[in-house]
Amino acid sequence: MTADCSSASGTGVPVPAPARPAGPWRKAGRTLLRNRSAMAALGVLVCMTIACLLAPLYAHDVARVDPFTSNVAGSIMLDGHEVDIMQPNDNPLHLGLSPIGPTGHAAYLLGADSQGRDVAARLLYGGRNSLLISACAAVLCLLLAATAGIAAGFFGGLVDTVLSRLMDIMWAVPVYLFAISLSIVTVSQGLKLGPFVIEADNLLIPIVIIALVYVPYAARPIRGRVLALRQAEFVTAARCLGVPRWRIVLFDILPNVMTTLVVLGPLLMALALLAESALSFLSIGVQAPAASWGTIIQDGEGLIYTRPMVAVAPGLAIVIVVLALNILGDGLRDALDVRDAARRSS
Amino acid sequence: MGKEYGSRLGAHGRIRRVGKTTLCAIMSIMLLASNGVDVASAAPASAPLPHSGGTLRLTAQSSGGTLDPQVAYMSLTRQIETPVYDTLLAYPKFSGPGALPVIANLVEQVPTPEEGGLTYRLTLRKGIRFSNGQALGVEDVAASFRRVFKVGSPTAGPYYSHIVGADACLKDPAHCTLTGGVETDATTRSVVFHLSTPDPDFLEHLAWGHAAILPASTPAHDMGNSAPPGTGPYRITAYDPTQYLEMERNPYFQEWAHEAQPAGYPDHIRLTFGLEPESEVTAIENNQYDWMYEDVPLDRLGEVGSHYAAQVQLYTLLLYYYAALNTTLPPFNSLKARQALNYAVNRHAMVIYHGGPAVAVPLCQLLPEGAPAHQSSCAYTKGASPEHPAARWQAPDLETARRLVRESGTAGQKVTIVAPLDGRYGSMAMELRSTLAAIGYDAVVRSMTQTVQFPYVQNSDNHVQVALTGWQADYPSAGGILHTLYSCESIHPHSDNSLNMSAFCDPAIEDQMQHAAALALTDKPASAQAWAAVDRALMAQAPAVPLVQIKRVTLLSKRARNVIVTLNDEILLSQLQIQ
Repeated sequence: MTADCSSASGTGVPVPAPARPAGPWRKAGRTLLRNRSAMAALGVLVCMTIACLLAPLYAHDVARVDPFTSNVAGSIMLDGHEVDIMQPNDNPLHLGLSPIGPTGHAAYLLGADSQGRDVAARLLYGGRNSLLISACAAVLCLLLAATAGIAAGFFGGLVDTVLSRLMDIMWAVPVYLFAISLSIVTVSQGLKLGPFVIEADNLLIPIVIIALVYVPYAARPIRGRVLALRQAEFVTAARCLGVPRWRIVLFDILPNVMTTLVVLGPLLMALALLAESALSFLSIGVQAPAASWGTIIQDGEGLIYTRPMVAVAPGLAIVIVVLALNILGDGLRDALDVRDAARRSS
Repeated sequence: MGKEYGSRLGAHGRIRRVGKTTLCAIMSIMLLASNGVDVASAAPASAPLPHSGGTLRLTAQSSGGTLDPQVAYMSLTRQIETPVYDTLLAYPKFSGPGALPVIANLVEQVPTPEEGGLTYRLTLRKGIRFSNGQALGVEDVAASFRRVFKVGSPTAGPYYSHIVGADACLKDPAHCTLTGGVETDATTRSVVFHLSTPDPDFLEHLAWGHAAILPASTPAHDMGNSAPPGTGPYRITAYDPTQYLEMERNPYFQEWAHEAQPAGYPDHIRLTFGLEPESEVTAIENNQYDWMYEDVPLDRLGEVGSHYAAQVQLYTLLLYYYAALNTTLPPFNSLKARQALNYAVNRHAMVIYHGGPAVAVPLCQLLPEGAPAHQSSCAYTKGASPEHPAARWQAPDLETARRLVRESGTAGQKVTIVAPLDGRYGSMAMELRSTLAAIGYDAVVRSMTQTVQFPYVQNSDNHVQVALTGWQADYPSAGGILHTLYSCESIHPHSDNSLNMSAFCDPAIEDQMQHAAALALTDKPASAQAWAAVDRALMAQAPAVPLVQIKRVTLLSKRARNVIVTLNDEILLSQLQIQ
């Protein structure tokens, strides 16, 4: 060591410091940036999110409509003519009325629903709720799953047995059946947690329910990863050195599990979006007059023959976002999953 | 009445010619029957009716559950069983104003109330047989009324509790005897009903389906999927509530009173369950079925009206939608708050939600159009007041509504609307929420499935402020509607069966109701005027917000003819001809 140090200093020639190897996150970032599909998906997601965030601007300043108030008896001006929102059908019996279809104008761009509300404006407002609920549910689910998975995998023994069996039980119940059961109970009464009361129309309710039902699906792979990490040399070394358990979990285990969490994130968000839409379609998710893509599809169910756009537009939005999240999730997995990279390189 | 029947036949040239000959035969049979002649021996031996035969193919989304006529309360079952079972009295099987009131069916004449409405004497017709061949006797009548209590018929209490001995039967159904309530004499074929208190609607209750006359040997429990024998022109031969119901002609049926229970045209009737209404419409358009139970869905109305107008039947029912306002809870314990909502609600929007003016009419009184004693008036519309009602609804009056809310001191309060989870109800609930918000309340909608919502909103423990619901009268009677929904007697706290959902009780109006009911026994026109006054008095107190009365839109196949619609029995399926 000493010799090495002296010989080095004796040359008098400055040696450039060796370039620090790029960290795993930076590498992953570079790989992700090179993945065109993933980047396109990210772009779509960003655009959708921005569009939905601008919903109030669109409704109030562009379309000039109130997307939450019934307007069946109202009318709009189109090309200088006053047009009823609900238009009588042309038949000898005068049976039925149909909401106005896509106008091609700012107001009622995609037409009206059965309550005379602007579908385009509701689509954007609905997207805010759908994306918010799915994102929050995914994050909450990952937090719960990480806690349960790390605890089960790292501590093992009784903790592992109890948590794993609990996950098995939750896993055994079909996810939608589980979510519907919880939703029906909470939507009718709200949620009372001691002094705290969450009203039935609060978005926290679908967020918590969707997060809960997907916890086993995320906790299992995390537990498996932690079981492998627990046997790793650096963890054994830390233990031998007497490092407290919480420090090992926080500074040795968690950073290594983070890649799994990041990969699971978009996939869970896609699942949460589908679950939210299903619950809202069944009227046990987002509560009226608030909108989500699921509630708009429900609004359009009775208009599928005459005004299919009411159901098709939110359906397309769901397809696009779920597809983008899945492609992004695949891209993240390719970028972050070391084992997968090793397999591919070998 | 004959003219009305003829004019209906006149709509179809081919049927008109046949109708005249049929009518002559019917009239001669009726004359014989009214003289107490044994119908079975006097009537011609079941000569086939013109255009008779074939299989009538019906479709419904789901079955109506039990077939027991004394238990079933679903309108599908009632409609299907109209040509299967008979009551002592019946509503005429033709349409128009003459279709009221009740006429004799299994008995020779409509009884006249005696002893101030405490006694009714009837004489059973001769020669009528059940579909198992057994002759109908007075003992079957007495047993059937006892069975109403034994099987726990849903209307045993509301409709038959006035019969002497009914109290004991309601307390101990298994040992019900109705001693002193129903007296029979087999030799004179007389049946005498004794009531403990007068019941102005007793004749209507004798015509109500739960008073169907069954063989005395019928088990005293809900027969479920088995249909007991009846006396009508058809009998049910097969029933699987998940798939189908089949009916064929009752071989023992001989027509005794065409206007009460006419012979049917099809040889077989098959009802299939399982199709969604959308698919039912398509199937009928393709001539795969002849009739659908459900209304044509709103989004198919345009298509049906354009391309299948000749196959559409549009008829008024005593069916209306309203919002019951809980008069015991804020904010609607304030009269001004109740009146404000009545002024503010946009009934035109409600009409649109049900398919437009051809299908629905705005309603701003508690007696719907077509009900006896209905006198069109609207206290809550622009330019009107309870003191100076308009003839009909014009437009909402938001200014008056907001002023009333301010005066009531209830502005800003939270209001929850409990509505069924159904497309039309959902739209109406959202409209109500918008209206409440517009006049200063913080309103939310809570939706639940209809089977849960209806009992839920009746129970006072659930503290429902606004219940959005619909009501179809069992039979056309002003008292039946107003007394059932708004009398003090209809309030049953902590019960799921408290039809006065507004918990409205006004002693003065209660007296008015009693007076109108008492008049019905002696002076029907005066009684109708009195009930109309009750309707106005109730609306002045605004315990509810009447919204809309709807018509039923039914689609029939091209081959279905001779459509006869009645207010009480709707389309008479047995009278449909297949061509």
